[in-house]
Amino acid sequence: MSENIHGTFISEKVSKIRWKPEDFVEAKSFLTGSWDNPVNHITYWTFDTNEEDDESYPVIISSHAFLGDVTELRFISKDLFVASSSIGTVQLLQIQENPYAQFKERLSWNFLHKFPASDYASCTAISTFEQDIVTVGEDGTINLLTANQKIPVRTIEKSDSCSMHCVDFLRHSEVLTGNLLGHMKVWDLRNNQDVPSTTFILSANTKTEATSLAHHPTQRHIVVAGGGDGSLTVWDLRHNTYPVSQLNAHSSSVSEIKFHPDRPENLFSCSSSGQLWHWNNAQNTKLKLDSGDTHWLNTISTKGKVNVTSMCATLHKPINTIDVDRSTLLFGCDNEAMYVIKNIAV
Amino acid sequence: MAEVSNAQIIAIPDDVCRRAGLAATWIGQNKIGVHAYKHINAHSKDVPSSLAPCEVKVHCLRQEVILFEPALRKLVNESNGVFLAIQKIKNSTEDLRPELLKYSKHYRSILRACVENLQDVVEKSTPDKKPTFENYLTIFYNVECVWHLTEILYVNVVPGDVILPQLLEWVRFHFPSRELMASKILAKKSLAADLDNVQYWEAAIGCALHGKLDTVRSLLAMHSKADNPAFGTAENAIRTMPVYNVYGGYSVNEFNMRWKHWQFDLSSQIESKTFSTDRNLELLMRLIVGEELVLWEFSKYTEAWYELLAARLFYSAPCSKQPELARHANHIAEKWRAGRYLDHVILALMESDLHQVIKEIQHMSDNGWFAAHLINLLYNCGRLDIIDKHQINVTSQLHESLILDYASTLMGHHSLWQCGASYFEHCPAQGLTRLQALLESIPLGSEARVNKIIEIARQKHMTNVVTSVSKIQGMKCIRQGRLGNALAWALKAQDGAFATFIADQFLKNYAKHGELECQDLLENLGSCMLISDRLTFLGLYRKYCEFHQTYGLGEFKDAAALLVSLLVSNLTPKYFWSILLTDAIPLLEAEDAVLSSKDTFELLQTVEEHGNDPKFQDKIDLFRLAAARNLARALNIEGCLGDH
Repeated sequence: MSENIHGTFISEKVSKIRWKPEDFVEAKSFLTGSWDNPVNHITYWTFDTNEEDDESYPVIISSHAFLGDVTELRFISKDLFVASSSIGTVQLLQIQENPYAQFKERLSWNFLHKFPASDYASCTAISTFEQDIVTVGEDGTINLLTANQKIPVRTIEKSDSCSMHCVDFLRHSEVLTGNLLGHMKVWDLRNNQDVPSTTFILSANTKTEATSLAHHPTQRHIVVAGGGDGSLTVWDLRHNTYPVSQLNAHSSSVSEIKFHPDRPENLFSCSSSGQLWHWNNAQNTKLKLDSGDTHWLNTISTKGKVNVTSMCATLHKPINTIDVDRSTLLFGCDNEAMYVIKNIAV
Repeated sequence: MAEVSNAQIIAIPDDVCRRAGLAATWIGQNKIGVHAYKHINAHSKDVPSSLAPCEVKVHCLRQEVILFEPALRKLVNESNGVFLAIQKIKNSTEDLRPELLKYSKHYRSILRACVENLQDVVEKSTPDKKPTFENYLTIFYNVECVWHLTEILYVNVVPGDVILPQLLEWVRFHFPSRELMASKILAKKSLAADLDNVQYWEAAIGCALHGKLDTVRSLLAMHSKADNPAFGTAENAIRTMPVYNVYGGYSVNEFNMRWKHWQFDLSSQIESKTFSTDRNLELLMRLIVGEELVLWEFSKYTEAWYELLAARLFYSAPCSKQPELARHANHIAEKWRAGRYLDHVILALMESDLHQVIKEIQHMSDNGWFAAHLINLLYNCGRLDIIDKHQINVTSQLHESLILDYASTLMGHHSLWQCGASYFEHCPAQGLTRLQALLESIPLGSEARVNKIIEIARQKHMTNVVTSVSKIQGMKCIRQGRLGNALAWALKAQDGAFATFIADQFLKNYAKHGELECQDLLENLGSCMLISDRLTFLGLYRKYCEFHQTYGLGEFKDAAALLVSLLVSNLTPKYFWSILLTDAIPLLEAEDAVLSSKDTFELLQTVEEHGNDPKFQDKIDLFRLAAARNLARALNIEGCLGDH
């Protein structure tokens, strides 16, 4: 498979990589965010076809300086995206193509996350649901924003006494957060009290942080979380908060988990040990389209029907981020390079 | 390794420093703080300083590291990947040479990409920046040139050891200008190329010097006098020149015989003035026959002595092996009066003096990139054998020290530290200790960064780094008033002592404010609380507090049982006794007796042992009274129960 991989060194460690969504056609441009530089960048890329060998290579369209590490990038529409930073700021930016490609700042929530002693706190993760944005940070605060309003809709201060590391919208009125010790909390946003409706634990034995969260694209109640110890934990939140399966997957911290947006029987995970894995259950779903209440992720540990393939040779540095559109997968790594894998088998 | 001292002297423009003297301290990993300093000891006279009043400055000195330039960071990262790949194959038993050659070529392609990238940057840069980038360009061009030659001489395995073909390739690659000239002339397809192009002969001779005989023949065919028999003979002579090829089917001796024969033929043709119609043609043929004088005459068409060296080998000693190279190289370099920096390196390479080569390339001002990666490659090829002046083999020490230097430089960078860290593992003697020291001093930042640092320490099994970094992070959290997060870090690092310290903070804060912080966290500690006795106590006490809140619901029994178990558990810290004992009073006074006589005895015993806390003095009488009343009550009930 390795001949399908094309790497580009960009002189910055890549913390996030995201496809710019397109309607009905293959996405052809994407964003990267960097970290650990005094001034980081969000860069807008597209593919350019080389005439010599008819291969397409990523080229920069424009680059936008960004204060702090880029901790998350999320598109909320075709050209609007939200970017969060390690100095606690969240920005809503728009990609403008005319007269020349640039980012226009639509809204900026400055220092949304901060410590009492006037110290900024990192905004570690954001999640979006249509126009709604939820942010969590090292200060243990949850902020609820909406894309057309400068003032946060709601702020739950001290929602967690540890720093939170991941967040996901379960539905429009419910978010799930995970903290440094792997405590997972479900927050019902209709409830005015600042207490979680449910709390459960990522892993009972080891105290490890929840690093990444992903829900199934069509069955939102199925949630996968990656742990700091490299494990993947799956819950079916309809039934209870006891994990339906837990796997020792990667050899160190899981950095990101992504379901394939159109083909949810494919799951991708990457880790700080430089591994990139593809979890596929295609045969199973072809036989029975909907196997009722049990999802394949529930049974991976017991039945072992899932194919797990490594998508590339283990890299020497942590892979921080992945994104997938149709048959092209992008990933960014701490070796200051990003990679494109074409024609993945989904 | 005793080296000649060639320390750099940096002048600090500061008058106070000049008068008082200097002192310096390390700031971080590659910065030095320099300030004025006068030593004072017990015997110094206690008088106002003669320097006052003065403006004291601290000067921050930093080594300039060109590798941190964005254009060069690609090189740093990509070559890191190759380096690590080489270390991986090192342990396999197969013949490494072909693999290493592949990696050497990979290194060169990275260098090539870097040089090309720098050329782009030079074109686009502003005039004030241009010289800097041009300088980088020269550095990396030289690096590539030397690397290529090293690859030919030391990494590549040439069957038969005849190095000329590769040497010619190297020369052609680095001095392409005359071949370009030739191809331009050929592209014009004119019938009198020599008349149309002033550079005709320069191109022809340049190509001949590089051994591109086919090009020379094509050029001759386009000469205005190409029909002249002299040109025909020349063409024929060049065409029939034997060129040594390992796979050509001849042994070296056989080849030499054929070649000598051909040479003899050609020289007799020259002597019989066959080529005298055209002076340039005659000179060319005299070059091809191997006349040293003519060779030197044509040195005006070469840019470096090694170009001439390749030509000389080609026409006078085509079967030279590597050991003979040194003699030829020396001869040419001396006569050329080669004095450029690169000349020294190349000469040393050809003389197989690798020690000298490494010494020289350390001065290439590429911050040790070249030296570290090249020495590693040669080391793995087994081509390195360096003896110091005491006749001790210091190869592996030298290898390690160069890599350590390079890696430490990278560790000083805010972003490349991860890259730097991956080199230390491959330095068996000092690497890990050095990495440990450096990792502990890396500035922390967001938790994401801290986690990355810890991850590296975990991979290398440096538990103490994990503990110390977690502790620093934990202390930062305590200063920010985030005890919960500090506890999380202590638990992640499995640091019992630190967990005890934090649990103490929780309890002390409770003693002061009467409120337990971070309930959400403590509630979900689970078995983690067993890491420290104090934390266990805290966890149990939190549970007690929870019962406490349900007092109204008559949950006295569970609360009482927990409280008694806490009192007898011996986990209670000294400062907390008064609180625990105070908590017991309402239970003793409860409407229904919830404490048995045995429990009450326990309580009385603890109050004897620990009731002398000043904070408890005003309550001790109350406690005794309540205990006595409860004891009476409990004995009564127990007595009744016993009757049945």
